Amino acid sequence: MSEEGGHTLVERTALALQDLYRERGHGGWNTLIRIDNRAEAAAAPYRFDAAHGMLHRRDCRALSEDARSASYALWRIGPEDRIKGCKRCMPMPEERTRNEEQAAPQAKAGPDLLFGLVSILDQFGGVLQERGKDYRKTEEGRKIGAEMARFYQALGQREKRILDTALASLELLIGRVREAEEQMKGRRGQGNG
Amino acid sequence: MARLSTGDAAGALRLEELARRYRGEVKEVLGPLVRAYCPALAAGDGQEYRKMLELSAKMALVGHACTEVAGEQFDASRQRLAILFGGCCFLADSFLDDFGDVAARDYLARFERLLASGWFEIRTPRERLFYVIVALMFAERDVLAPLLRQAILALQTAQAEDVMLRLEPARVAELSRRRRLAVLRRSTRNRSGHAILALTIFLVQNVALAYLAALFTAGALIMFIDDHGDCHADRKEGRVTYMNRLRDPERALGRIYRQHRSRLEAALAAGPGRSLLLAFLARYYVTRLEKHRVQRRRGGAAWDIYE
Repeated sequence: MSEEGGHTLVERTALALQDLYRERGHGGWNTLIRIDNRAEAAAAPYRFDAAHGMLHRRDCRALSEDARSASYALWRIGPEDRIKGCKRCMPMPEERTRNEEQAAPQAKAGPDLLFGLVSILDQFGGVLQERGKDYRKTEEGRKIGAEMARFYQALGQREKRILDTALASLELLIGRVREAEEQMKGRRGQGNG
Repeated sequence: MARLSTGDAAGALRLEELARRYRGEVKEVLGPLVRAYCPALAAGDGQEYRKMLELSAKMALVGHACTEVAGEQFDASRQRLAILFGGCCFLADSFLDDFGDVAARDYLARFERLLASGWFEIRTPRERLFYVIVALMFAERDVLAPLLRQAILALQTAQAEDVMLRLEPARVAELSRRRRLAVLRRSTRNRSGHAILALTIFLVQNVALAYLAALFTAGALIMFIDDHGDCHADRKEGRVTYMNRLRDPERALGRIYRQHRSRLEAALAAGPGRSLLLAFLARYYVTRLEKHRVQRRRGGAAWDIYE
């Protein structure tokens, strides 16, 4: 929760990311997080018309323009979803459950990484770099280091540029979060004085 | 008019208690954010800030009912999320309605970019507050869940269509009256239908499709009621809505209310969530009928605050 005179790490991080973008451009890091999933949704096998509570196949002709504007793409229908099926395209019950392996692409990596990063910054912000140096010296760290060097060599120019930009942004971001942390400590100190 | 069903007494009583509670709690969630990022919002007579709090308390009540309909507890985290959602909707509406046509188009383009890439160009303290609220909501929830992504996008599309109907009235002017009313009615339905689904899916990860359809109905009804309440203010501002195009809107709204309510009663299992939702809709219907009558007598603006 935002505090009087200070802000949470999520607030600071989110704003720092947008500030970095404004100041430096995305530099190849085109997407921070993509909510718009129209491309994936267009390929989903079912449409759920929320306005009329009706399930259709994707290309069903009974799905009018009006119904489409209230419809949601579905990749699978669970047994708990007892909903009317269209009489014209008849999405069959057995078909409704067989597509689990084709379930919607969740693409969780983006926000998970971002908020994982936030939680790490929150816990270890001050010692992250030191931990990195120490970890590099361990046996596990040496193995991963060799693998990462091979991985980096195998990347194309564009991927290298994106990775470098992301890491540079990360470093800047850590700096911004530290600055904000210091400012907040300063304000709290003044308040206590 | 046929007898108005206003729900059971226990639901109405619970609604009153929760409304009192949430009016206090929205201040605790949104107050520090407004003071930190956009203090001007609460400056002067604070009317806009109070309106934001009232809308967010309403969103908390609806969120509470929808969560219980889905069979879950409306815990502190969900309560906070629903309040943030209310604040977010209030600010988004203000970008669309209060700063002129150019600003409305510009906001739509930038919000579309935010949904497509995550980047949002912040230009004003109000936009900073909006973005922070969005970030806090996104941090609380897996926003890449497919249905939630679609609900957010569908809400944006419905808002954009509504704005375009206002900015480019020629789009509907050339249609027959019947077709024009159908387009306006669909726009009204979709705006709040998708909004209540976005709110519900934010709050509860897995909701049965049958319940989502019922909640879409509830959302649509809220918007018909809302537009009837704002009828005179909308007309004054040249805004065309389904409700202010009708010859006898009060009678039409009564019919819509009864139809939607019957659908909800049939679709939702009896329980505290259904009872609260029906009590909310009944209360909202009655207070907006009154708002419409008051504004017809005295005139009024969209800024007036009603319970």
